[in-house]
Amino acid sequence: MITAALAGNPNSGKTTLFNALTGANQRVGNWPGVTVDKKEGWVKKDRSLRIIDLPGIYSLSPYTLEEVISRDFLLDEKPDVVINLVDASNIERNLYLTTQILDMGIPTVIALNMMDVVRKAGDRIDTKKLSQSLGCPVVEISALKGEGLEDLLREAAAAAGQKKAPFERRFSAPVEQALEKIGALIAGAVPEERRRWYSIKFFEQDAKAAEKTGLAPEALGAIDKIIKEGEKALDDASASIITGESYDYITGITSACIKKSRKGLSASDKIDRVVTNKWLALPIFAAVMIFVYYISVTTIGAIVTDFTNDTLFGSWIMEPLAGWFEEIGTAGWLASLIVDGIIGGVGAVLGFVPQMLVLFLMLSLLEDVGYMARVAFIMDRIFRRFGLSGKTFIPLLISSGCGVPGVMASRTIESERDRRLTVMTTCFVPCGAKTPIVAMIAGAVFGGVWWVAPSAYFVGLGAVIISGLILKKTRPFAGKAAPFVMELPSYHVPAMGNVLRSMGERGWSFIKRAGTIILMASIVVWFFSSFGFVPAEDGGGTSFAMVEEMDESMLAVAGTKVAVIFRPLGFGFWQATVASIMGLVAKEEVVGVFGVLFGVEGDALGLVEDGDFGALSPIAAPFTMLTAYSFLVFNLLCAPCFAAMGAIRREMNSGKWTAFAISYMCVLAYAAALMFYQFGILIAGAGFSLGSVVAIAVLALIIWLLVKPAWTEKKAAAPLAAEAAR
Amino acid sequence: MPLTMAQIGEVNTIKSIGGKTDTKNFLEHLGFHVHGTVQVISSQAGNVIVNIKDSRVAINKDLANKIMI
Amino acid sequence: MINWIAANKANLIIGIILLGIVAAIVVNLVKKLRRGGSTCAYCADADCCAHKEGRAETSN
Repeated sequence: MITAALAGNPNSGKTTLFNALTGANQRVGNWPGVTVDKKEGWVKKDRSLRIIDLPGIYSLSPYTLEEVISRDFLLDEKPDVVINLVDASNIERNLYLTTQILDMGIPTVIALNMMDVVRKAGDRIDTKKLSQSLGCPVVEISALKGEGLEDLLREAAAAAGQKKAPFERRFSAPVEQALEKIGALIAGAVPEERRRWYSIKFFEQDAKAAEKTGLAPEALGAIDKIIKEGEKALDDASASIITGESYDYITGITSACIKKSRKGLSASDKIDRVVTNKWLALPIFAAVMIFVYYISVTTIGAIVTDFTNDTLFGSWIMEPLAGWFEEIGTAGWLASLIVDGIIGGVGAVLGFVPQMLVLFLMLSLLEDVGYMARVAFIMDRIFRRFGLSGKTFIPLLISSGCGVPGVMASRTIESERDRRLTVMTTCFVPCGAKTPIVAMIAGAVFGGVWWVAPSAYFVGLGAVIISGLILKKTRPFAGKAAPFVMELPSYHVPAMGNVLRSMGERGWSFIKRAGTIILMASIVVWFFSSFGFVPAEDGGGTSFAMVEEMDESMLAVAGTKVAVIFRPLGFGFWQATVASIMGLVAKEEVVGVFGVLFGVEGDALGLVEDGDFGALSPIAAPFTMLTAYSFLVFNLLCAPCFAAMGAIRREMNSGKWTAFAISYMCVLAYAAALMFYQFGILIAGAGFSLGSVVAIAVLALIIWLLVKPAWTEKKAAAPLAAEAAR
Repeated sequence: MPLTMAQIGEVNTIKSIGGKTDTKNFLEHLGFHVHGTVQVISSQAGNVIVNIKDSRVAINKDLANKIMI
Repeated sequence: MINWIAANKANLIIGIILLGIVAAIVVNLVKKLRRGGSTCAYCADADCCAHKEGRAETSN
């Protein structure tokens, strides 16, 4: 069994190569203790070759999590061979990682990817010469087209397990002298074949590598002196010296092996000039987003959803089924459970899948083309004012489709603080499943007025911004946003196969969710709202039976007790409480629940789609405009569905943080709805009450949290300094 | 002068990189090193997209200010 | 007794089918719970962490 490690820069096509080599024979998990994906698999045709896909890295330095993971893997797990994927279209930077890998002395094979791009640009690379200079095999491949893979695997198998001669590159004289001296000092503490690598690491003042050797303090002190001498001789920091000389070495090789044709700005650069232009960037972005939402929600989405609700479920399934039930003499309640409860509930949710699919398709097209990365850059300027980096914007954008991939998208944010903050706030953005709630309220209570829907997005975005401002002042989150550094891939025509496939996968899993969890939820709601403890006819005690009035059902009784907490928000009646709680299962279920509980004719969501608001009036009955909007605010901001909570748990990698995130969302939702309702009735003319006082107090608290000075290191250190001075 | 003041389209040589060691090292691994060339493609209030080692990297104003050309 | 079954056979058949579906769902749920813990049970994805949207959030 040969183990190969796949290493390369981000955006070099590693995932494509990994998929091409392993196909479905892969397993994805996490590297222990962190939220970085660990992918391993077996080569399709040759099951004796195991491949571990290391995270995309620019170097093997110990600064980012991905780098540490990769390096530790190479050092500790000792793979038999490293397949180094090099993107030929920016070969110099890619070779930087190569030099670091070769320094380690592990047998390496270079897979030179994207050679077609190079040839199209008119450049030429002498692969043989490159291989000679570096001292390892170089195989030209195209991961996307699947070319060259056989040769690659052959070379990898051949190279595996060979005793590798150490990499032959030499640094400048002062550096080589220092390395020799350091090498002598560490000779006993490190394996012989790694001595050169460790010498270099020590010279670079790589703390993590030093730790691994457990060298005595005197030796460390001596090494320090050697380093200082070297730094003085070359007038630069030791790490920079190594990096600089590495690049000089690389330039030496590439100038011999690569012929570049003179060219101006590439096509991608020209596009970027326009798309990220000072004045055009935001308008272009707004136009793109409007286009995306228009296509997915208003046109294609609506058409397919209508079809699904009316035709597919209405005519094709529900009616015939209801008729059939009657024919065979099924009890009324059983038929009702199945047709109205289950199929109505599940069908309503399924009706939204097409719309969500189209939205996902558009968003993932944007990503595949490369535009999403530019968006983060464009938004950085704005977000920095709130103490956040532009990278926070992408998860927010993706969350408008579904919160689960949105939360997962926050992995690109390097700063753990900012990442946690993004995860906590990304679910405020109205996701695809929340739009039915918005539509229902807008339709049933507000008569379909145009501003309700956009206002929902503003509420969500407002919550994100206010949360960012407040949380950034607190200790766990304080500190300037991490500097924005992001490699922008070239624009390219999207690989439709991949995009469609991932859209299909997501759609299928939504359908599965509808068929399972939503189905169960519908049954549960139907049951508890149809049965209760009613006084027996003979007047003595109560018996368990179907209820005449829903208000007598178990659900109503329990719900009313819980509903008390929602009275200050204006919607303290049991149906709203039950609906909000069912929103934890899936946000779209809120509308389904209302449909069941208010006995709306037909299925509630379908009516919302059609704009048939009159039939929804039973839902409007217990609400006023004020309380309905308050209900909307609460459900928009409160804890997300279970699936999203699961995603949060995975990203936070800590139960404590997950609980904090969810509690934060609920508290904010409650506070927001409270203030809205209380100030609303105050303005409407009702007198001051306890509620108003509480609302004012909450508002004051929020204002204080917004304007108070941020927590800084100095504040904490001040009392300690005072102590020391005494 | 700092990179933020570079002309769009001009090819410049990096003279020095300031800033915290970690950030500086990360930039170096990306290809920003002394004597290396860098070309600004787009600039937006100090945030820049540059061509470095044949790749495209976007960095914000704070970082760009620390790269001297 | 038999009369009751005969009279309600439609209900019984449908009820059994329904219970079967529910049981299958519950079993599936339990399997997911056991495999991935509470986080994976409600995940809309088949294999929790295997599928990710697009490539922006992965460094590949």
